[in-house]
Amino acid sequence: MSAGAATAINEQRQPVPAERTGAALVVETLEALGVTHLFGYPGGAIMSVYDALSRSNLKHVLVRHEQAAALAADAYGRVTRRAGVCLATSGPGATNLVTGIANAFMDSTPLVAITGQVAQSFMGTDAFQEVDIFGLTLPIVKYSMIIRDARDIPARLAEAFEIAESGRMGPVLVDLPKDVQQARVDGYSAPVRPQRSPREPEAPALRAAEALIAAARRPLFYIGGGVARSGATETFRAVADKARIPAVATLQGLGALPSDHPDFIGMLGMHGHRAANMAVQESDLLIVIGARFDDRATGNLAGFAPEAKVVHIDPDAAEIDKLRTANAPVCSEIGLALSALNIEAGDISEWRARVETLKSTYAQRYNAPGGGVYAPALLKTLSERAGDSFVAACDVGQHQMWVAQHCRFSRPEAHLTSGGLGAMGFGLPAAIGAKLADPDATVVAVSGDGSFMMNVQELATLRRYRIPVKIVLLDNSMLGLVRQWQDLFFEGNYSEVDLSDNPDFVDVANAFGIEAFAVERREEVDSAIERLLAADGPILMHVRIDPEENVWPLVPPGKSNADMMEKSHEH
Amino acid sequence: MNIDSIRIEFDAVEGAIRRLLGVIEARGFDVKAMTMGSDLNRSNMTVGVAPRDENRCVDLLSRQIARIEGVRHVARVTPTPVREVVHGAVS
Repeated sequence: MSAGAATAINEQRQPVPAERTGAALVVETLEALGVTHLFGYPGGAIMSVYDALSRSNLKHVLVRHEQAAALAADAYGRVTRRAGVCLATSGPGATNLVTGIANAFMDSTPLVAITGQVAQSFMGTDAFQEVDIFGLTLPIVKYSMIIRDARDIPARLAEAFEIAESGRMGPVLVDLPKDVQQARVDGYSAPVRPQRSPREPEAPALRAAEALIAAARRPLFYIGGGVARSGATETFRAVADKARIPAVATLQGLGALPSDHPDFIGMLGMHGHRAANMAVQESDLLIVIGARFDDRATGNLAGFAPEAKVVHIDPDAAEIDKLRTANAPVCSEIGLALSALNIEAGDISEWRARVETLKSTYAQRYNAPGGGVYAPALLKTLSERAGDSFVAACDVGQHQMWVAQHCRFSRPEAHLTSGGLGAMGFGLPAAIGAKLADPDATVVAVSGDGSFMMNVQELATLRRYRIPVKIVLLDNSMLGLVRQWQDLFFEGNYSEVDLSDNPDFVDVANAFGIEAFAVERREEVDSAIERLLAADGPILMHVRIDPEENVWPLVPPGKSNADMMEKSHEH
Repeated sequence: MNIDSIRIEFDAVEGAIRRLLGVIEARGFDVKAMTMGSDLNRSNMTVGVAPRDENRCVDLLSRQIARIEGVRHVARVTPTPVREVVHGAVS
């Protein structure tokens, strides 16, 4: 099938027949629930749904590996705050979704994963392509269900979406046995979403938090991904602009305040900004919003923010006091809590001056020696030139940290990264999901040569639908972050990190029908960025970088954030 | 051995028991005892749990159980005496 024919695949629909199968009910219900896009891959146990899909208005994106379907749907959900939907067959199709489902679970993103299953009479018999995907995914879903009666499809799918999108968001798995898909159902009743009341803050908790904030001399906002996930970005920004309290962000919290906001210091944690980590260490009050004290953010907990009391705002009661005791816990939907909280800081002028000193003392520098491409400078320039429409969909590794450290983010949805799971291969599928969710965005998949090969087949998806994603492939012919750790913590014993036998990535992209070009010298970067941003279709920019380049600063494993290593530690 | 008892009321739906026991074990506790009953739509379970290390907090575990979809109520209850049986011992 030509790409042109494939693009038109969803445009020639036939009317839905009067007699409904369970599969048709699935498709009608998804439409009724407002779903527009699905990411998937057909197979034996989900064929009835695909048959019904061909008669619907849903836009199905045929990926080339089910993992990419789940990761694209995850990113779609991050951008829209509506559950992304992925679809796969039973057995290997379902197991290939697992990494994407885990990714959504770890980063609390809304996702509904629909899997075909062998017929109920075959379940438990080790049938062909039978896997207990329900059992397999129990630890990595917010909820899961096997729909055993076709008449339950509308209500159960409505329940799945409500669970995925409410409170602390997360993935929901829906397993659909073949006989349920094929069953005949009389009539159709539109799904009714069960409405859940958002958790509201309790007045005593708010008053306790206000008292701590008023008394603090060195308060600090500590922003996590929960701010954006809960749709509280604007509310938070209004609060921050009024309170003028300095702020740091976790990897997932980046963009909640624009990178160039005067009160924003930077990312904290293992590869955080030194000024951000020092501010945390000196703070006497952390106002933690939608964050969970992840170990990559805190370093050694015993030495983390030793002088700080904690106000912890989060909708998930299980996150309060999990790793750091909160002096004032506020268990509530974040937007409701921020709206109800009267944040009035005392005189913090000395503290603000101290933070400004930290920021200027430890400002990022881009004057790297040599004539090779310096990736942090390239990424900074790229994000600034792309402007407010810039969205980075990162893979995992050194480039991921450089994006977080150096790119300018105007909003949280501008930074799509696999934080909790750290799944290499996230970048390209995520860029596909993001571009379909926000067609006006300038979506850039930032990848490394290790990560890129993990879902390289999705170049075919880009080509098939002509999705204008821009790819920046930072190639050091190494598993760079592993090499860095082997250098620093394993006495330079480089074990299985050499990728110098990589293919020619420009040739690879061209073979998929994608425009591509290479950049090797620093003086080429400006024009390369111009070409990248000007391209109408998908395009790949292959950038050679120094294999010896490391990500700095770095908090060594097990150490406090006060013990950051700098470039001077290099051998 | 420090054993705490938790009483859990939950919707009697497919997978609920696996989900509950999975969370308890994954969060760092051993299941040492268990009793359970069900009516048509609702089940209740009393579980004796022991932390695998000193960093595990049963109050936190209770909140982690409480947030599971379909769990209606979680409470710590007076511990039921649990007799440890040493492998091979005969009483």
